[in-house]
Amino acid sequence: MLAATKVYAADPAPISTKLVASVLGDVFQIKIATDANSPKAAYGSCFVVDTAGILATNFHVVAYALHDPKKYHLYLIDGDKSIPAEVVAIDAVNDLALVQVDRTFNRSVKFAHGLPDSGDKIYSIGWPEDLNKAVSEGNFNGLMQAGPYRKIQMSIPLNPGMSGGPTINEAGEVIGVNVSLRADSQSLAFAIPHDLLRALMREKRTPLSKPDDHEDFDETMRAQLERVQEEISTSILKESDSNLQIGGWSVFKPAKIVKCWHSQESGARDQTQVITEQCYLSGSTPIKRDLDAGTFRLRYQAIENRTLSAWQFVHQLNEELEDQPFAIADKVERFTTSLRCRQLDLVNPKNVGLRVHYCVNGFLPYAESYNIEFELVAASGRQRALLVSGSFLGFSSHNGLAILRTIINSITLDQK
Amino acid sequence: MILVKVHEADHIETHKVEIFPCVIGRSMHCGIRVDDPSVSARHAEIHQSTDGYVLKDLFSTNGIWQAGGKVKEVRLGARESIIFGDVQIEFLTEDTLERTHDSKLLPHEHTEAPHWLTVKIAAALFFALLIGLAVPALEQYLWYWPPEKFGELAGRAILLWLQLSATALAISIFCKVNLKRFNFHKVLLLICLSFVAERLVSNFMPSLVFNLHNLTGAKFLKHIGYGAVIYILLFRLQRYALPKGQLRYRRWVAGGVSVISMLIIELVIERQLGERSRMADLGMPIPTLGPSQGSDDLMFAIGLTIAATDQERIRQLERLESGDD
Repeated sequence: MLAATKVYAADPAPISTKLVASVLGDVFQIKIATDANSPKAAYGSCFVVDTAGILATNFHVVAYALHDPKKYHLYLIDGDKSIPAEVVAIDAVNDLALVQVDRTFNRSVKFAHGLPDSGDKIYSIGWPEDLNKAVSEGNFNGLMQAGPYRKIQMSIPLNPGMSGGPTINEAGEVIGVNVSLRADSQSLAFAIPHDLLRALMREKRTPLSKPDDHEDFDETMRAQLERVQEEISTSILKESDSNLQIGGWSVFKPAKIVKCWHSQESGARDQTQVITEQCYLSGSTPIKRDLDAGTFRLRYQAIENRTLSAWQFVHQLNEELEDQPFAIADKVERFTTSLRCRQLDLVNPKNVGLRVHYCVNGFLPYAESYNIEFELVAASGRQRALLVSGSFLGFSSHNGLAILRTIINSITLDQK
Repeated sequence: MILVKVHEADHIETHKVEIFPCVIGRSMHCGIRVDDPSVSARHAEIHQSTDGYVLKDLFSTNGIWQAGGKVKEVRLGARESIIFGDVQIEFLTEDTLERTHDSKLLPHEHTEAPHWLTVKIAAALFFALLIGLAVPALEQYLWYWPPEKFGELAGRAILLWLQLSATALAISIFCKVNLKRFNFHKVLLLICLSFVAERLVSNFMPSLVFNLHNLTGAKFLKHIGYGAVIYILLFRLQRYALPKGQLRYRRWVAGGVSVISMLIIELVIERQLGERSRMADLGMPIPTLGPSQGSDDLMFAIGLTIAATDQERIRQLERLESGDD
């Protein structure tokens, strides 16, 4: 096996290059513009999955045309022509969309039967930055699962514009759809596994980007958001007894589905010692630019007072509570309600006094879908305090409250 | 009743004495104050006995002199003239007054107006309001400037005002405090009574006290209050417990004991009270003294916020729809 790979690597003209070249013809550019001749408002890549005129792309590529169908339209760029296209199926959770155009194709891509082995060569095809069609080469690094989100992790230099293009193996078969690149990384990129795309292809197709009728799209989105937050909530609440010990406090930690970062540092002039545990779900459901749902983050900060007086310490805690920036975007134009915030003092069942500051807003098009964010502070004498902040984006009120209750009720002061 | 006429350098001051014993001296705590360096802080005392009035020397430096001789005790006749250091003081008993019907002898400034209680209550309320507004404002200035929550500020001011005015009222009614002569003891008494009131309130309305505890220096004042109670009690009790000759030290004894007691309160009792009281001092929510809300109340509050969000959503959707049409 190892020897065979070596032979491949040493081969001066690998067969795969030709296979990649054969897929190139199935990849097109897609543009979103006010009409066929106007310049693009957004662009992406797509590829033929059905010769009857069905192409696959990312949901976030076509989101403009879905949210504002009166203003923006979708076009497939075929040489010099712009062919009007229509979105017929979406899977917002996995960032996939199917687009239909009024023309037939001679051929479509082939799907792989499984996934490559870790380290195998793979290729991503697309139109980076609206330039020439490009092929990037890289390696398959396995699957990544975070709650409801499943992605292929790969080391390929992806660029904006290649979103929606195919990721193929050495045999020229599609293994996934290019989706994103970790911003602060060295070509750490992600693709959506092909089985999710094939599942979407089996679903019923209805035109979703009709300029005069929003309801089908809104209803589809609502249902998908509902499903994804339900899945996340179930897996969080399933672990309602998993605890994290942090600086003399015991708190709830949804261990299985989140990734956490731990750090320990001293405050200004060594007056305090802060232990931070930051957890987040690495994945989200894109709704529109800069607006995501179906994700959450949690941050615990255990603060130990070293030299501050009681009043200074409390003052600092109150400042922290007021200063923390909220992640929820307030009043995204015509899309969310305004942010409503309140502060409340309470005592949890573990007899810990808490000051909670929370904010809520809701998505206008999707009933029962809210962004809930909270920050709280608990203090034990003048020595120890716990700051907790978290945000839940696109959750139902029932699930948001249930998770918040779990987090708040779990805060315990460890008696030493 | 006795009339006391103090012959000072440039004028004669007349006092009407009805409550006995009455101390004459340079200190401002004396019933009759004689501001002259030759007069001791507590120079002499008038007692009422079964057969008239007696003036007693209170171990003063310069003593009391009658008819050129130094005396320890004088039985006050109808009209006596006694020398206190360099000051001459005349004593006129009731018999003299009745006989002479000398209305000019009666001082005017001590006649109480018939509506004195109303005036005192109003003044007490006014001063308490001033303090109630000033303290939280100062606190906001020191810690949370600029004050973002004026509602909270006003709430605290009203709470403090209620507390202070209630105690000021109690003092002015029950102790017959003359607000014109608001001395050190009475200020201490006000502070300690206000904290007694606070303790009482804390049993019935914990969240109210929780808010009061957010005030800067509340703990400091509270301890001064404790110290004041001890000081006043000791100061008064020593008169009955100690021999007369040692009374001159009672101020020091009371002060020392109250300072030591405050230290004990701070170092022993406060530490023993532990987490609870310290949390209250910190202005943090505390389980037993703090608000009695639980996580269900939070869920209810968020539920209300969500309902408000829903209403806004419906309103906005309607507006969008009508705007589109």
